[in-house]
Amino acid sequence: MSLEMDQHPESTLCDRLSQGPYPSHVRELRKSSYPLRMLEEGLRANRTQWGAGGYVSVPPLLSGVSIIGSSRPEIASELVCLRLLSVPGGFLSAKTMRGIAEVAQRCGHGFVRWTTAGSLELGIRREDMLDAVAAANELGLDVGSTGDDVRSISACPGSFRCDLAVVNAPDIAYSIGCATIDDQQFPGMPNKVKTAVAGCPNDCVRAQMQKDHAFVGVFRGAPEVDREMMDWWFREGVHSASSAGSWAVKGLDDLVRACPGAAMERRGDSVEIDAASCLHCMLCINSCPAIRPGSERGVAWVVGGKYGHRGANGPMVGFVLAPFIPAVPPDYEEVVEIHKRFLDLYADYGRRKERVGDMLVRLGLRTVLELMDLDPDPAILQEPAHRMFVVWPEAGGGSEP
Amino acid sequence: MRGRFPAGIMPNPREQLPDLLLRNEGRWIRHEALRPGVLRHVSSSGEECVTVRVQLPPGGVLSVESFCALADLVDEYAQVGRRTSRNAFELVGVDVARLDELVERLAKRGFPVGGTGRSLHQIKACGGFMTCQNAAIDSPAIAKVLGDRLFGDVMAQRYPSWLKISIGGCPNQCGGGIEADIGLLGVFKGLPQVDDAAIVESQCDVPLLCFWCPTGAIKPKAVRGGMSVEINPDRCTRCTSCSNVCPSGIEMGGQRGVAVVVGGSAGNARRGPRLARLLVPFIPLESPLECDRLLELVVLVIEIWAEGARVGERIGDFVDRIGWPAFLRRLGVDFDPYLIDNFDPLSVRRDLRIRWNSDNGSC
Repeated sequence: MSLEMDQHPESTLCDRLSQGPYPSHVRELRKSSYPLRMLEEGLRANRTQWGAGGYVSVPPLLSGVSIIGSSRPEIASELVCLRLLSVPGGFLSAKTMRGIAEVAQRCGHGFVRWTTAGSLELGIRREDMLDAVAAANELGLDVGSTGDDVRSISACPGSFRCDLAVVNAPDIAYSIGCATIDDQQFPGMPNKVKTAVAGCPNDCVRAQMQKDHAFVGVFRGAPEVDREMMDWWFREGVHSASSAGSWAVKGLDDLVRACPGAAMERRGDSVEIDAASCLHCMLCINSCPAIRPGSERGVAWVVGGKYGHRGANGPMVGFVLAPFIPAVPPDYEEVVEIHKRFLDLYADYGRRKERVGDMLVRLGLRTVLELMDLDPDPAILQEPAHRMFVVWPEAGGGSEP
Repeated sequence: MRGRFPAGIMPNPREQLPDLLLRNEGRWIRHEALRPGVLRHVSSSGEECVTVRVQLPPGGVLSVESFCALADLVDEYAQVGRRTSRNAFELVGVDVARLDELVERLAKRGFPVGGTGRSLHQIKACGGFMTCQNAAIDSPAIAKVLGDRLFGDVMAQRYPSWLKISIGGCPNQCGGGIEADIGLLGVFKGLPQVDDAAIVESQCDVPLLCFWCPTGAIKPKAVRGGMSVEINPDRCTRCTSCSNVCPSGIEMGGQRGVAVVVGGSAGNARRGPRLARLLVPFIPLESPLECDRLLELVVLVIEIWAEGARVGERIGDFVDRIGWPAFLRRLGVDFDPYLIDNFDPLSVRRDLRIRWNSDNGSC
């Protein structure tokens, strides 16, 4: 059960991974009581030495504890990790970080690990798990994000630190998170549901690709041009190597040419943007600080993204099922409501182990919109169907799957 | 009945945030790169927020000692810490007068500053052999070897655009890859091995095994004591769905290796979000540290792109412009029939707009 400090004399492959300038996971593991011999033997055999285990629960925690089994019980019998729900935006104060470190040291093996979806994993001894969770609760953090539940709700820094943010992503993620905290801590879904809120269409959190059920900040109307800032950009920014984006777009003529919607025309030392041609893609806003997102702002609802190759369709980019939902602070009611409504749909219609994207393909997107009681917005159409296959309900066809 | 656990706490970002960020919420008007790895955001209030980005070890793992060291540096030089969506770490609200001192102290602790703009951004990797029972390849080791090889590019601003490399240890892709400019995906070549006795003993969910197999390669079979399954070798795509349902009874078999995909990008500027496409379906990997062929290919992709792309073009934009056949030719990579997706006929062209032998492909 216990993971002993490894003093294996021949950790030669691990030694090699401790050297070199790039940060090293082995250097970190050496400073913890992670059983390094498991990794060394894995590297030698070119095969992981961990074995079947999975998300075994430690009562009364039904979610948030991952227990990985071992095929080398003589080295380590299991690897137990506590997963903490991510703070939307990824912010952690120094005080919180020290608190987390204290828990990982006192109740565990002295290491922490950010998962690629944004949760923070702490190596914790099984018998100290509840102590660790209680201590995390004191820090305003909680356990979750394993198995078939709503996973950690991630967000970019949003309006708290980013000039490009269209909506305050961490705020929206927090509202969604508060409304679905039970869904995050009790596994009741057909499979995992990854959720994120991206502050703008640049989608730094991969809401459209990594996440099953996500929202992306969007605006309608033309981007706004700030004349004063444009003068500044001309004077200093555009010539300065430091101005973000200026390496990709050199000056206004270049910006006009780069516009994917051909929506921009030069007018003296500024530009005019045609709202009807604008693709709202962010390219000009990324490249020139004098161009800002328009003021009519909301979120797009994007569903079905995933990276994994399991299930019927493999990796998918999510579908835009609602291109504009008003996002009204402080409660973002409409966004929260759509988030919950779709979770119910997925719980009802998803088959066991079927990811959201696979379910959408099976049911048909028009059917999903019907079940969601949402009128399809013509803006979601990439191109119309090329088959005449319609199940006409008024002529005896079913309207439900 | 609900007890004390779980406590039902949704972590509140505002509790972590310093006054600087709270009072300037929604007021940031521009940002710029002060130097590689250092960003400055400027607010309409006139206040500034300087962010220093450091690269974290592969797999996102940190000892408590290093985690505390980062906390101390946040406390001493900045106002709040932040994990980025690529598992790098940022010190936000840095006092610009003490920037040099901070950068030096971070470097001394093994946290190089960089990964912004036209550079190699944080290499994202899953836990691999370090923390996972499913991994086909040890993604952290490959990330480390690759990071050492390309280390100069973490700081240098020499690429046409930014470069994001992700490494996923198995087809489940927790580490990503399919979304990145260059993705390295762990794959199994062999047929999953079925242990009838273990399937019976573990009371494995046979109907679920059959249903979840994406290609219908699994069918039930009666064995002594109960029910097991049979896997059709002509249909199995090694997706690992079955070994995930029944890990004790089905083991992924045979040789392990890496599939290399290129040209993925998120974000809606330029092409819009796109998944990366297969470049080489299988590079055998005898040991995670002996991956020269893989490294050489990755370096070659980067050099061909750095040489041929226009400023601002990511790898996917570049390949779109010159076309896949020309890209393969420039790389000297032989066309492999497995690049044709047998499950998606749309990977074959349905027009005759072909650039015969054209290499530069500009149109």
